[in-house]
Amino acid sequence: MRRRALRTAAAVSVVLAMLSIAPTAVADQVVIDVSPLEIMTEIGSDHVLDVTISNTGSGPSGALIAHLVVIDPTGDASADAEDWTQGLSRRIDGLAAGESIDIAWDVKPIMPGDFIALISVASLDPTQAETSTSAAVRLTVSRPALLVSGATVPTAMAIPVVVLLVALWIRRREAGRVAGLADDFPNLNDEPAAA
Amino acid sequence: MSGTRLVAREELRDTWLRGWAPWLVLAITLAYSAVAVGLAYSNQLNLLDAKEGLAIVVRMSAGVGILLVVLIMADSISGMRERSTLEAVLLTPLRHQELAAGKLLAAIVAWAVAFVISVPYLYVIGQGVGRALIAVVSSLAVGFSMAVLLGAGAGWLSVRSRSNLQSLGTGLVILAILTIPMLLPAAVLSNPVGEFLQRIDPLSAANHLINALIIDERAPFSEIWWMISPVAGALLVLWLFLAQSERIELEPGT
Repeated sequence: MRRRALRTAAAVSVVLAMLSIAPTAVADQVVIDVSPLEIMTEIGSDHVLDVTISNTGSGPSGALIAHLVVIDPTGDASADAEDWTQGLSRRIDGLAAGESIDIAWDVKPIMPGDFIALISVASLDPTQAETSTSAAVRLTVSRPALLVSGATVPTAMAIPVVVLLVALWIRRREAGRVAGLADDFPNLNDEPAAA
Repeated sequence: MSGTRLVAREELRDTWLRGWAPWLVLAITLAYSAVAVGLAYSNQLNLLDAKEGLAIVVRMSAGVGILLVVLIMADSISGMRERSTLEAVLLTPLRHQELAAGKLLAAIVAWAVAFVISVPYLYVIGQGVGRALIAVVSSLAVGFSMAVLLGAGAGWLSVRSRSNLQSLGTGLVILAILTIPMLLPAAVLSNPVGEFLQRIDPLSAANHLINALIIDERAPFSEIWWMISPVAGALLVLWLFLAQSERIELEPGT
């Protein structure tokens, strides 16, 4: 009886040991914290999402991939997240049990509207289908008063006028010089006398 | 006064005082203004559109000046042959290299004028997306190196051509060949062969550099390698042109 109990305890401890070595399921063990959760901004402003990815499980996570997702809840526009950040995905080689990693994720909104940003983490292990997702970051993006400088239209109007005046001045000056030459050499345009 | 400066001065007078250049510059400013006003009045403009608009003005700023240089240089020697003015110049004590260098110098001034006129546009359009300085500097670097490369190339063809039609036609075919890598799909450009083609073709490399700096907002020093083929190409073709110019003849190949 006692021997049987020892065998059972040994088997259980082997299974537990194996479980502690095997990568843990991402959905259950990987926790993603992100801050801030609300951003009021305008097009072109730089922001940083402070992302902490932690392995709260009892085993190593294995290689992970974190990805920024930007959603337009109205569905009116295509929010291509690759245009919002320099690095759409970040590869994490692995997190030991209890380990965490901090990522400063640059975000620069390119269009106005209300958006939801998420960080989604998936395992690179093909046997693990689950993913873990952060809380939603709400972005309210307004259009800046001037995406193209206010001086653009006055500049676009003024420069052709200046160039036109300079061109006319050059032409007038050259015409004056030629007229001066004609005065100095009155026979300049005469046909040469026949030999 | 050196022969080079003398030739450049006379060419500049011909082009800018007695020629069509000021009116062409006026047409160029109207084109810049049309793009600038179009960008300023776009209600649906997003950041990407604004950066792409700026990249277009940078390409125009470099490209229009380069085209002027090519047109002037394609006419430089073959045009004199056609107008029967080359013989008189060859009889002067002017060295052939001075003639070629003076013509190229005057042609580069046309690029410089086109660039200077584009600076206010680049500044005001670039200010809104925070890329004004990088737009001006990239236009200057890309435009100057490409103007020397393509100007010297067109001059080289002009030395070897009997007519303007021949030099301009050949030049345009070469230009068309150089644009091919830019037309390849992104999937091809991302593989090693595609990237190699893009890097060795000066036009494609310059185009990639402008996109990387203006649209993708990459750091200038991380992309500096894309300037290798425009700069190396400019030095090589300039040397070829000046070496070839020693053999300027009344008829090419005589």
